[in-house]
Order: sequence, then C-alpha cells, then structure tokens
Amino acid sequence: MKHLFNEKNQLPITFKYIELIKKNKLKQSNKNITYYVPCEKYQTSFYVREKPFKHLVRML
Amino acid sequence: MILIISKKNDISTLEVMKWLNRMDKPYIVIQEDEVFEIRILGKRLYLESQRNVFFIDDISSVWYRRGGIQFVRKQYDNPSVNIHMNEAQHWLEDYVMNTLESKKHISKQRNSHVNKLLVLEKAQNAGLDVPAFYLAKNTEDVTPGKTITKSITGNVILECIDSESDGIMYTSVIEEKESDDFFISFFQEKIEKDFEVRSFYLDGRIWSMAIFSQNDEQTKTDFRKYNIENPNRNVPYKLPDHIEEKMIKLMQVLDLNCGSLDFIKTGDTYYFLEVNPVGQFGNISFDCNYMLEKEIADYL
Repeated sequence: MKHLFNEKNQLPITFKYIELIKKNKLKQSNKNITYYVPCEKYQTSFYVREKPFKHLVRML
Repeated sequence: MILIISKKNDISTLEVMKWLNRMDKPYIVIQEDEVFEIRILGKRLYLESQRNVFFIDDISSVWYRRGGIQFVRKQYDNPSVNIHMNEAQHWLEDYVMNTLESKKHISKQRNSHVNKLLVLEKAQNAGLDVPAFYLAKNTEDVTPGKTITKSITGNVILECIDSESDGIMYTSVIEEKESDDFFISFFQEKIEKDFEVRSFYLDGRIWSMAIFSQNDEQTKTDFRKYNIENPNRNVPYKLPDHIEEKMIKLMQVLDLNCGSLDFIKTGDTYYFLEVNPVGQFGNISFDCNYMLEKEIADYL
C-alpha cells in the first residue's frame, strides 16, 4: 500500500481500495442539482436556493 | 436562549433554524470560524467572539451539531507562567463546557467522536448482532470476496490527496490476498443483505428508513456510492422492538442522546454496523417524511 502513495511507513489496506475523484468531475456532476447562495438571515454562504420542500401531511 | 454549535455549510442546521423561527424560539448559532474569549461581568460568565456574545446562564438548551466551540488561549512570556496559565485556562474552558453540557442538550461536543472498534464491542455487549470483525496486518485469515474492510476513522474523505483529486474510502470487499504486510487494518465478515436500515435516534425515540441498495452494483457494498441516475429506493421502516431496546441500551452506554445508526437485515437478523453521533439525517427526514428537523426544534 505504501508504494501507492510513496510513504515510507505502512498504510492500511483501505488505501488500496481508495477511490479518487477528480475535483472537476465533482463540479460537473453537481452542475444540475443544487445551487447555494449567501444568506444573512441564516448566517451562511450555503443557503440552498430552491423551492423549500413541503412535508406531506395526512389529513385524518 | 438555545445555543447551536454547527458549521456554516450544514443544511440540516438551516432546516432546524427555520423551525425555531417558526416556533419563535430564540437561538444563537456558533460556527467553525469563531473563536471565543471567556469574560466576566460581575459574577456572570459570558462568551464573546467576533460574531456572538452571550451569558452562559442565559442558555437554556444546547444542540451540538458539528464543529465546536474554540477558545482564545493567551500566551505568556515566562515559560513557567505560561505552563501554569495554560492549565488555568484549560480548567476555565472545561468549566464552561461542562456547564453548557449540563443543560438540556442534543449531543455533546466532547463525545461527538466515537471509537468504531469500541462501539462494536459495546454493541455486542448490548445484545446486538455484529458481523465478526478483527484487526490484522496481513490477509492470512481473510477470505477474498467474503470479507470487507473499511476505515476506522470518522472521516473517510481525504481532501486533495493529490493535486487534482480527493480520495474517498468506501467500505470495500477484499478482492485478493496481499503478499506484503500493511498497517493494522479493520476486517469484517461480509453479509449478504436483504436491505440496509438507517435509524435516527433522539433521546430514546427512533425513526428508521430501509434502503434498498442491494440490487445496484454501485451501491451494493456501500450505499453512499450514490447512484444519482437511478437512486436507491428508501422507505419508512420500523425495527422490531427488541432491536430498538438494544439500540437504546447501546446509546445509553455510549452516553449519546442523538445519532444515526446503520444496520443490515439478512433473513430475521439485523446486524449492527456503526453509529455516527453527528451523522446526516436530512435524507431520512425527507424521504420518510419524518420531519426530524421539527423534532429537534421541539426538543430544544
């Protein structure tokens, strides 16, 4: 395993099975899904700009 | 006043804040980039950061979601004074944290990270079925195709592992024996599942969701390898009472009052996999219509 990452110490076997994800691939796959915007009220730069989902309410 | 300790980018925190607004419950949110100084006015301790200032005794309940409260540590020139003052500041911080955690709370900052290996042992002690597991530095006892490995760390994402990629350590089936030794690794018996169950636990109450991940090669071993084109079917699910009782016992032993627990169902057996005290629950809430964000806001 250590040869895979040129480390002098041993690494666990999980490194053999690690999946590398290209950063630009990540951006592409998210392209059509979600957009985030800054939002002062909720003190975040990660506010989901989409119609809020409405929970189903069973009328009895 | 409710205190929420979270990170800027946590969508579940935003959803809970919306409910708190709706309920007219005042709250303060602490984010990861804030550093607090412990100050005193008269005999009342208060915390002050760049964004927030509040008296400790004004806080009625605390939700530790993610991140953590960070404190300013003053440095002193004289090394002996510095060592002494470092300890003095440590105990003052410890007092503040203990006082906050002694209030009504959901999760605690100081036990938000659990040791996966100890959790499995404690789950067995609580009477839950756990797939056989062991640590090893070689694959001598490993049967390829019938054993899985996964990281014992909480975070399985290695950001910027090289100049253009992130690395993710999903649960993986061991495909072949290794000739060389490696760093001590976690191995577990691979269970052929009927489906997976992810449960959200809050103060003795449990909401579960069945995830039909077994029919998709991509999600078969680890459902987090989401198939966006053809998502797994997720449905509300009720675990048997005897499993829920054991879950409650386990959470009590771990001193956790909130968390996400993963199970695999095979035949009549429910195998416990792991618990994440700060796991995602937005998908359970949304897919199963549980409104967990409202449950959290109600509890606080």
